Amino acid sequence: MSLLSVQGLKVAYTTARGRAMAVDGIFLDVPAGSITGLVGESGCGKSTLGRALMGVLPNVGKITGGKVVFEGRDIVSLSASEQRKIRWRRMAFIPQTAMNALDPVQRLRVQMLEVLMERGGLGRAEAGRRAEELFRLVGLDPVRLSDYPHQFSGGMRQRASIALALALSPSLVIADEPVTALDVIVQRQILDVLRALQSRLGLAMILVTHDMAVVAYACDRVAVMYAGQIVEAGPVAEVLERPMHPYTMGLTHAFPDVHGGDMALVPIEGAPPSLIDPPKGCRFAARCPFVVDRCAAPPALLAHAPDHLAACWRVTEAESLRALAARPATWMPA
Amino acid sequence: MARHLLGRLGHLLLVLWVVSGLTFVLFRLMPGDPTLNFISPTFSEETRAALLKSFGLDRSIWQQYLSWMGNLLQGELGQSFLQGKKVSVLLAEALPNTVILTLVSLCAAYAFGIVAGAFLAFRRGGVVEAMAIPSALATRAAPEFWLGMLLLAALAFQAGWFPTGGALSPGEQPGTIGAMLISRDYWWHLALPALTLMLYLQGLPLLLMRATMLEVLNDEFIVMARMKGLSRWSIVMRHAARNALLPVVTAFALGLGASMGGNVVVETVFAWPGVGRLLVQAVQSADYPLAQGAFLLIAAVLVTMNSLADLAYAALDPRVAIGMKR
Amino acid sequence: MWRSFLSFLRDPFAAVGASIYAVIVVVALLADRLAPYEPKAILKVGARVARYLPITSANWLGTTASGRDVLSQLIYGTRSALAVGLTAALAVVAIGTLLGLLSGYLGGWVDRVVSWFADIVLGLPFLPFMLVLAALTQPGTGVVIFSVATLLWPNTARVIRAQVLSLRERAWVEAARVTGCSTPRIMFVHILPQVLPLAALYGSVAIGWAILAEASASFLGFGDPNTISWGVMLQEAYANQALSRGAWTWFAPPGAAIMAMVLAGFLISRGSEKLLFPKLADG
Repeated sequence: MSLLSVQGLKVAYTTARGRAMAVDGIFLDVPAGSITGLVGESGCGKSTLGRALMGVLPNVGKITGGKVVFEGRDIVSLSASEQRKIRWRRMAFIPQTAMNALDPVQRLRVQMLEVLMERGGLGRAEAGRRAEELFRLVGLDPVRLSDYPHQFSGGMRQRASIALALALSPSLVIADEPVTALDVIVQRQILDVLRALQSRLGLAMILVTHDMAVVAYACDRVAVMYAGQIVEAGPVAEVLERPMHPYTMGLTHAFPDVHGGDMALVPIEGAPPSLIDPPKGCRFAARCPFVVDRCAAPPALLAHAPDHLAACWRVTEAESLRALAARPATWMPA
Repeated sequence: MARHLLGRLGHLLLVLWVVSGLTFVLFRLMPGDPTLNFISPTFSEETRAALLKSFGLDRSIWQQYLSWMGNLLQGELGQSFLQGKKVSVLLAEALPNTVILTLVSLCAAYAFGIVAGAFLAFRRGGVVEAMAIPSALATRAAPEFWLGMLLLAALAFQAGWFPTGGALSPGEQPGTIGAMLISRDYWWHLALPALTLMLYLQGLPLLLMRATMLEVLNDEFIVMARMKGLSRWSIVMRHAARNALLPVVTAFALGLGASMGGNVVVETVFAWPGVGRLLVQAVQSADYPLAQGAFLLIAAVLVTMNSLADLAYAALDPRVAIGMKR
Repeated sequence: MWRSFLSFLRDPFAAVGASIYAVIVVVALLADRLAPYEPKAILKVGARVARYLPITSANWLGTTASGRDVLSQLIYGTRSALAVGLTAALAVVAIGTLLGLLSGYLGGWVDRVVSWFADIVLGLPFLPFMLVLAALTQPGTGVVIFSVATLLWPNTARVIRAQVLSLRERAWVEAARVTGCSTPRIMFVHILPQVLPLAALYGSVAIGWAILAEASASFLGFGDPNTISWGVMLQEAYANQALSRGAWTWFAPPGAAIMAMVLAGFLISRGSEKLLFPKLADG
């Protein structure tokens, strides 16, 4: 039984040019105690998914369908006040750029105490102790609680955001591109902090990122997202070594290895389709080097190996396609 | 921080000095005998002689300037032609009235404007917003003395609810400022001029607060606050408002300075015995020492409040106060 | 150019503002035809001077204390309002734009000097200064225009300077510099046209300031006694006890006219702001 099970979730944005389905039928399972990476290029809808799960979409966005079963309950169907109860206490969020996410005119201590006292019901003294404990947990000197956000470095601000997220001991933490805005060395440090905390506290994490290397380093499961849909999901080692979907194959060749190494960068040509008027068949067809006639019909996300799902008509030929994908020539424009 | 303060203080004194110098020059624009700036033909011989000596009016223009500056620093501004008292005494009598009028109106205007502006930022769209914004703009567009005239005609002359002018009814002599402040009669007279000014002034804080709130409400930390599940009240009051208030506080300080000069017409409409009205009377009757003194006082307050506004912003925004290098 | 004008009009604020201005301009041009009487003509009812008449079919807004038709005065007032407003606005925007351009582009000591001047000027209270100047020289619209031009330029200058600072770093300015364009040429031929829309925006607000200044000066007795302006109308009304007499049709319309014209300036500037700076547009 997963901690979080997203079933056919749809999120629509009203824009000047029409309705854009940022999330168009997502199926995602996050087991308790796992770090699941959610990877995809910008604009694929992964940030929207994060915000939708937290129940905090901008005014122009709305959940238009599907269920989100969290700790046994469909949170989409809950009332606003019930949803508010879950927020931060059971499900928390680490934003991409902590500079903008922390209140600039309040000291960190005040921001921590606010959450601990107002939502955690702790008394002032106890909340203070817990705040210091949380700072130590993420590797920050508790003395820094008296500072303002702008006095922290980027990496430290991110640690503070993590401390805030863990304040009420949630069972699930959604981290939205937590290391994208940091330089490479600090990235590694923060990812280590996240991994250490996850194993120590036993919580589940969804790590949203566009960087496959981050997924490879920090996650034990991964779901690949494209144009508002999940195209592949499964354990990290399995998906990275034996990808079944051509997009995943392209992604694993498009990034430098975070451990160093000497790979040639091979980008996937083209751009994702419009979310206002998406194609009727497979959404990756226009950029896929292995496209055939069958791809005019949308493929379903099915398990083709134990615990390994993919949405592709040619998944049975995955092994030979992988061999082709390993050659840069396959990805060059025809 | 102390160095920054000292720098600002120096700047303030410099501006004050230049402005007073400009005033000196301004009043010498008058064609004819420069002694007419200080000495009226109606003065007695002793007064004439004393003023001549004190302001160096029989010497060169540079020496006149120095004497004038020296006198100014001691608070000596000459003798009013028509009101028979020293200018400094007249100003001291009138200043409290102006200060009270300005403070009461500005505080009321800002209190209203801040709350209304925050409220409007929350309730976007709809009839309320469509009507409120043009109305706020309209009150700022209307001449303040005309607003005063309307209120005077309707509430004083027609309805008789308020007095038609002055600060006190004939016969009332509270004596000290303290006694004045608790005198019901004084407040009854203050009501209409204050209401006029408040009506005129509230547009700015209202529109400003609304604009900054809208910006702040879109900020990411507000989205975070929602994600934290904080109550709406907590979000608006503790996070949004505090950030949105910074420019409004600065505007308040600036408004305080500007109001002193702008009150001139309202004080005239309501015959409110403040510094503004003194200036108008002095100018209309060629009472030059008084005009000069009143002008200097108003300018000094303006310059000082401008500097204070700068300081206030620096003090309130922790990003500036704790030396953030941009 | 034409297209941006049309989209400018699509904004409701700008459209209303522009129509108000249009009405005022039309009334000013056709004043001779629209006004039922000469503004200064003293009307008579039989043998007596027609003082303080209420609203009648002959005098839609009644008459003044000296027997003049209020409506005609109101109509002719548009001329003085436009004359003072446009002249003063032009002057203050010209000065503000020039100084903003110079201090923004040249920087260094030029910037410091201009900024210093601005601080001094901002330390002079507007209304008192104008009054004293009028008393010491000669009351009239000249003093009003001069005061507006010399005291109200810092706002415009500050904003133009900010825009020039950002324009200065653009690639095409670099290109012009590299190809040997002289500094004055870059400033006036390349950068100035780009800041003109912003200057025009401030211009429309400046018209309002100028009219309010003229009204206040006239109200206090320092206006031009020979022209009929809305400010002079208000001054006459006040001085002749129109308030206690309840002669609403005399003192309410001129102030309303001033308010409408100043409001038009505000509305146009708000509307253009959305056009010029779309990100700022949030109401």
